[in-house]
Amino acid sequence: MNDAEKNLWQFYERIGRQTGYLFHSGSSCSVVTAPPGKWPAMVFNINPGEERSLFLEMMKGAILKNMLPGQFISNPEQFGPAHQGIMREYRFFPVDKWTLMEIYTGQFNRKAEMDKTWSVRKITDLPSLHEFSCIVNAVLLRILPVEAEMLLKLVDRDVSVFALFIGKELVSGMLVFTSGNIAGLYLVVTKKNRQHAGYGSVLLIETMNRLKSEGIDKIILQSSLPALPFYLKNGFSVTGEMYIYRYFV
Amino acid sequence: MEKEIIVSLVEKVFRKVFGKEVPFRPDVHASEISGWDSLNHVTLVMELEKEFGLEFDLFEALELTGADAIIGFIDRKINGDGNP
Repeated sequence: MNDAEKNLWQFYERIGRQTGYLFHSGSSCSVVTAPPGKWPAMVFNINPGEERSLFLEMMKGAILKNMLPGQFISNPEQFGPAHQGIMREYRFFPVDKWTLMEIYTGQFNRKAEMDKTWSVRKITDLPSLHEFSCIVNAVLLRILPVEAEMLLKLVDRDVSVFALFIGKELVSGMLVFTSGNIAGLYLVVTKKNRQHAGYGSVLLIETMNRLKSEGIDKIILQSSLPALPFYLKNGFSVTGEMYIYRYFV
Repeated sequence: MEKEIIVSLVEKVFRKVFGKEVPFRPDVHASEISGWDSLNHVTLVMELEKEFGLEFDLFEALELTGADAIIGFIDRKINGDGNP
């Protein structure tokens, strides 16, 4: 299991344990859910064994009884293009692909060009977290929105939310989860009407510099398809991929 | 199957999935259509499979985020890619 995948599982586990929402870890999979209809709702860390059909049968039954969220995430070795026949048979379809990426902070040596009205800082207050969650929900999590109150519960020593402000306007933000000397970047987002102006890069560079100064050796993330060029341009390299699958009745 | 017919049938499926008022063009992108999210993308693929009697590679289909990519994909599937 590579560091990006491991960090993601640890992050989901952190959410489940910290927030008091459902978290379950079993031999074949782990589950995290928030209140109904809210982020995150995911089955992860799956171990289908050799009989993938049994796993899918179990998943399908549990989903239909509302005992599990209707989606799971997997690396392609567990469930991937080679298994689409059986996945189609059980009505699980890939709905998204995440590219796993990483960068070593020791190889990173850039400074962001910032106007004097700009600032990058950690946000811990509910109004700012609410503003950040609104942008996340508008741009990224339209189907399964994140609640600011959950972010407030999460923010701690190993979970931070960094934001780029232009004056008082929160323009870009991201959540950082650190485990040991590895930091994972999540919910990286820029307001729709502020995109393609370099703000995302400024936030990324500033945040990476801060993480480096705090002793982080490696930064990982899971990139959506549209964001891939952005991360490649900023020095990240590809280490793998994961797929999100959803059950369709 | 002629490309014009493919385009016409793809438009028919788009209107079925996204509504009659969808701003369809042969080069329309997912970002231009409200409701073309990851879930509706799967529905779109399933409806295209029914309309054309084809089976998509579900993982290749993930990257068909515009009508032109979809039309090109179907054209190659039905008519071949022209290579011997």
